[in-house]
Amino acid sequence: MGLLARYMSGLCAAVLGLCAAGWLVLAPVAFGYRASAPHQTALADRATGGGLAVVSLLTLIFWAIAWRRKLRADGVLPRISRRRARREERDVRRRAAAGQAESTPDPAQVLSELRALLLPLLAESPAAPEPAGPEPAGPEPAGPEPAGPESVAAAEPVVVPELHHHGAVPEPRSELEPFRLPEGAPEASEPDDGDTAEAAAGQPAAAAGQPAEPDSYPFAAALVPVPAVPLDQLTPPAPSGIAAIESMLAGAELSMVGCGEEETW
Amino acid sequence: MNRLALGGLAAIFAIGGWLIAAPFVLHFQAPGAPWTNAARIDIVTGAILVLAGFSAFFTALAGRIRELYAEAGPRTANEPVPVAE
Repeated sequence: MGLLARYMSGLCAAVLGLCAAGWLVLAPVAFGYRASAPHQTALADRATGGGLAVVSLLTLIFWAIAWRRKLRADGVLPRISRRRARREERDVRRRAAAGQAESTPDPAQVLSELRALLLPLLAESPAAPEPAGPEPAGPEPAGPEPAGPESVAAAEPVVVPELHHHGAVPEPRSELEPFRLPEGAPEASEPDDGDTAEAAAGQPAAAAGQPAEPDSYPFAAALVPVPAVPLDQLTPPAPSGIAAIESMLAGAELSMVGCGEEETW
Repeated sequence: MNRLALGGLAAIFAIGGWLIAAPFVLHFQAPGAPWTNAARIDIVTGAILVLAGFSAFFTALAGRIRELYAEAGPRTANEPVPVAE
């Protein structure tokens, strides 16, 4: 009721003002005092009536718009009027048509841009060396070195003078490592082992009329013999001296922090 | 828009006041003399406009204030109540 009374009172006052304006304009004629009364009386009534009509009309329009907005905000009326929705739909259609006309790419321009982007990549790809491991700390010669299969094959293994305890983390593998059998396992190329020798020669035992043993390795022919490497060369050397002490202290510190007792340190 | 609408109601109120005062300001109603038709019509019309404009203006203003309270209600309900120390 409060909301309705607010807008209704404004609208009623505006309508009443319109009626009063009409009455003021018509009263001198209706009551006949236009000729008898002084000239100022009729003029004042008509001027006041005209001004009141304009003010009342504007007030009526303002209150109608305000009430309409309120009804839209409350969801009683649809959010967008039909005219506005039609106009927005027309604008969207026109914009989409314009955007479609503008967004059609020129194939020649696209190809030239792609070529310009790919040229530096093609020029860089054959000359990009991949580091195989940690490099010694020292001044490196400036300028790109010629990288090729000869230079990679002739590269000597990097010798690290002293391994820190963080050196136990394996380096990322940049190429496939050769398959190695565990130490003590029978090698595939030994002439004593008849089954593996036959498999290596490409003659399966079944073809020779002999039943294959259940524990024979069927893909033994694919194995590549690798010379045995001592265990101390496969694993990095354990930290020694001050590095070992630091490693132990770091482990203890981590365990204490994990237990939440770092205040004791 | 609400301000303009309230301003229109205030203008109606002001025009009603002018209609009440016009016969005496423009001297087409002599003081002490019996009222003419023109003066009577102006004063009655002006009084109606003053009454309508006044009541409509304050009714609309009261409704606007009630709206402001209703809008501020949910906002203040979510805020924590300050505790005096």
